[in-house]
This record gives sequence, C-alpha cells and structure tokens, in this order.
Amino acid sequence: MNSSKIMYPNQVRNGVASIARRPLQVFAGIAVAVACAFASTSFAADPAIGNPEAAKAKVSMCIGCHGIPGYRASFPEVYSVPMIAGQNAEYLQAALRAYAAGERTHPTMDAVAKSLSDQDIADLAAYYSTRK
Amino acid sequence: MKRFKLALCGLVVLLGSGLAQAADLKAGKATWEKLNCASCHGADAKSPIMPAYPILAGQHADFLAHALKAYQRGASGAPASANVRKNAVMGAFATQLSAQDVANVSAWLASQPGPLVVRK
Repeated sequence: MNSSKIMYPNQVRNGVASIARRPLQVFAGIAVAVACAFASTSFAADPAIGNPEAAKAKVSMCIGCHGIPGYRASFPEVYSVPMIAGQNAEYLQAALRAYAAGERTHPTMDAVAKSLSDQDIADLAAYYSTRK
Repeated sequence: MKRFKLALCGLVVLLGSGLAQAADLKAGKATWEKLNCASCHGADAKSPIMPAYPILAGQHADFLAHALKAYQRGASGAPASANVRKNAVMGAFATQLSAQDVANVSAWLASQPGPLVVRK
C-alpha cells in the first residue's frame, strides 16, 4: 500500500492551495526528484574500478594464448595473437565489450568476453595495462 | 661452431630479405600518413587521443594485418562466422587499403618502438 496516496480532505484542500501559492518550492521539489533520479542512474552506469590484484585469480582464460610467446591463431588467416600487456586499459575494456556485443567476432574471444562481468573486465584491463 | 654461426647468419639474411619483399616499410609509413591515422592513434602510434583507442606501435605485424582485414570483412557485410570487426570509422579506413597496403602499414607499425609485451 502506498502511504503517499493517503490524504485527508483538509490536507487535500490545503495541499492544492499551497501548491498554487508556492510555485518556487514545487519547482525545487521537482528539481530534487529529477536530480535524485539522475544521480541513481549515473551511479548504476558508473564503470567498475579495475583491481589488478583481483585479476590474478581471473587470468586463467587469457594466459593460454596471450601469455605464450609466438602463439598464433589460424582463422581466417594465420596471425599472432595480440600483445595485450602494456595496452591501454580503456581499449582492452572496449575490445572485450565489442566481443561480448558481437561487434567483433572470434569464437574463443566471444565466449571468454561473454563469461566476464563488468568487474572482471575492469580488473583484467587494469592488470594487463600495468603489466609492462 | 663456426659453421653453425655461418648458417645462422644465412638464415637471418634469408628471413630478412623475405620480410623486406613481403612488406615495404617506407610505403607503410606513407599509407599511415595518407590516411592520417595519427589523428586518432597519435603521431608515434602509441599515444592515441583517447585511451579507448589502441596502442599500435610494436604490435605484431600479422595481428595488425588481421585486424585490418577483419574491419574490411565487417564493412563488406561478411557473416559473424567469418571473423569480423564492425566499426564505422575503422571500416571506412580499412576498405581504402589494398592487400599490399595492409601488409605495408602493419609492418611499419610493428617496427615502431612501443610498450607492448607478451606477459602472463
């Protein structure tokens, strides 16, 4: 039950009258409500802060290819898997998100990227970008 | 031992000449300049204007070539199973490159000093 809907007759009358008399306060109220709504939205969209230490327990899926000198992939052309240590953290995150979203396709990387949480992605990116 | 060293030198020369034939570094630098890649990736190819863009300097040449080909495939509407990259900006640049341009610019970028390394 929504308690804000309970209004006694005298309050309704006073309420309507007071709204008409105090437009500035109503505006302020609306502004605060909107600000709160935006604040909570931006909090939810805040990027996860990467923790390189936490990534140490998450690199098992990376090192089998990216940690081996000379390792190559073979489709559709043969190529060395990229060096990711020393790369920009933000770029590493963007690349993983692109795989997860299907903007980049590669069977292994698609599967790896889809298995990672936003926090995992942030941690791994922080780890490899500082691994020089 | 002397013979082994001689053979090693021969091998290095052979490999070197093979690479030189496959890619033209000077032409690669010209391609980089012609498409003004530096305007996003940075003049030294390792200082991009936004951190969401990759460092290219010193990356494996064959990987860079693969990435450019994947952009070409993505721009041409190849299916996801073909290994594609879909990106409006990079797709538009990659489709202007011939196979030789891709080999050249990738080799030139790989020859530039950069911070990328293979680490676990």
